[in-house]
Amino acid sequence: MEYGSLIASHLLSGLRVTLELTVVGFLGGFALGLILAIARTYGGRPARWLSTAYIELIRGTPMLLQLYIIGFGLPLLIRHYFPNFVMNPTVAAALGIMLNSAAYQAEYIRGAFNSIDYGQIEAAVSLGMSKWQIIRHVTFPQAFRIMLPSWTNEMVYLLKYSSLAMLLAVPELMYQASVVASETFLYAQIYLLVAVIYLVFATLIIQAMRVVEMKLHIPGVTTIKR
Amino acid sequence: MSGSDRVLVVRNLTKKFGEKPVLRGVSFDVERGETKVIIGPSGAGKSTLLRCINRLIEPDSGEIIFNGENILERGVDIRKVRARIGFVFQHFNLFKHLTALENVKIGLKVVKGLSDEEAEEKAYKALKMVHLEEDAFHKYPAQLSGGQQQRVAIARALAMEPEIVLFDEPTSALDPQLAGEVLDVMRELAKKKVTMLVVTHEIGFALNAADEVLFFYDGVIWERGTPKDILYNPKRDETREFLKRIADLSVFGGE
Repeated sequence: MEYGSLIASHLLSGLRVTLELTVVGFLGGFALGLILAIARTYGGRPARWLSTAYIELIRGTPMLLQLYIIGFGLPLLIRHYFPNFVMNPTVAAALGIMLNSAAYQAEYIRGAFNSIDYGQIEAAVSLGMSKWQIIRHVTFPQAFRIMLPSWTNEMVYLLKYSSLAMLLAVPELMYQASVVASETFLYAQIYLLVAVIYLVFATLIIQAMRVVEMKLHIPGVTTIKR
Repeated sequence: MSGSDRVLVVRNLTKKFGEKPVLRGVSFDVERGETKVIIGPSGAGKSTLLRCINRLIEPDSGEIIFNGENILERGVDIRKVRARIGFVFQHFNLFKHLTALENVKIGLKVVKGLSDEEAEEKAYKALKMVHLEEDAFHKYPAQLSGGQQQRVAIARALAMEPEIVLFDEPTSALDPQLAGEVLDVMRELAKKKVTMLVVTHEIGFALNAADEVLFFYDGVIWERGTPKDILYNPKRDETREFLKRIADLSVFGGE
């Protein structure tokens, strides 16, 4: 195939950007999501309100719209004050994906926190633990294990939906695929190949997370079907 | 009662849930080394009373004097106080992600700041004291019987070297055989002069381990006295009525 190396180089560089977006969006989303979940579960009224407002704002609007606001709207606004400001579209997309994922991950974590019976918290309080000690030593270690299946979901979701970043002209996998497809007219072959790439990586994530779930399994906290 | 060493003095404690008064002026003392048993109908507020003592629930008014200090006053570091009051729950409330040994160690490490080795040593001692089987030390709560779980919970409380241990119906969630092994441990603790305040329906335990029995009814201590007085010769109709109902449900007696 005469276009082989052209296709390979495009798709490989696209794959790299897709994985970067996924990893950065996922980990950043987890850090922010954890803060949001703690605020909403254990915080005072203002913290709960702010967290809830943020989560509902993100969940109630399309991710594509959020990406447009950060990729196109935000730079214009900043340029109003700093005329030389330039936003790298990949950075904008990573930020958007992270902010979006944070809202969903916050809800997964909150659900896991809430599934821990109140008796354990009473026991921890009775030992003299502070709120932070309880979160760190009692509720989080259990919540983390409980939320692992939803975590897998979120990772796979981000892997695929990071493709929306192509609409900000981010050179991720879908973007590169469409570029090289329109150059070579091998639409069917290239998109099928891209489908296989997504599928392979999604499967890798799912299998890896299955191993993590088994390794972290504690009877009574999580259940595992072998 | 001058000259006596009172760990806990409760005076005129009140608590309402909404409009419903649950505690209507509860007063009693617990002396060091004493085992005091509270009996009374279910849903009357005995659990609330215990939870007010370490302020898991904030009482509305009254005094709780723990080692001479009124812990309801402003400026009291309630976490320091709680670390010195053991609490054993009806449903054990072990930390599910920690093994039996780790459940006992965690308070020592996190709250008392002991090193891992020190905590391990104390935890071992405490688990031995409740006769936990060696092979259960490294098991998770879900892998233990109810009786084992409650004994671990007692060890978790004892390891902190509390000045008093509060028991909230510690055997109510257990079948009689498993309740028996928990009660045996509690009897031993009573003999060792561990200060205990025990809410229970186990009349047998009250009879042979309690120094005093309080009958809690309608938000107050309705009647109090030696186990024999309260259990065999109650003076008030409500006490008699309650004991009769309990006796109908289980075999009345000692061991």
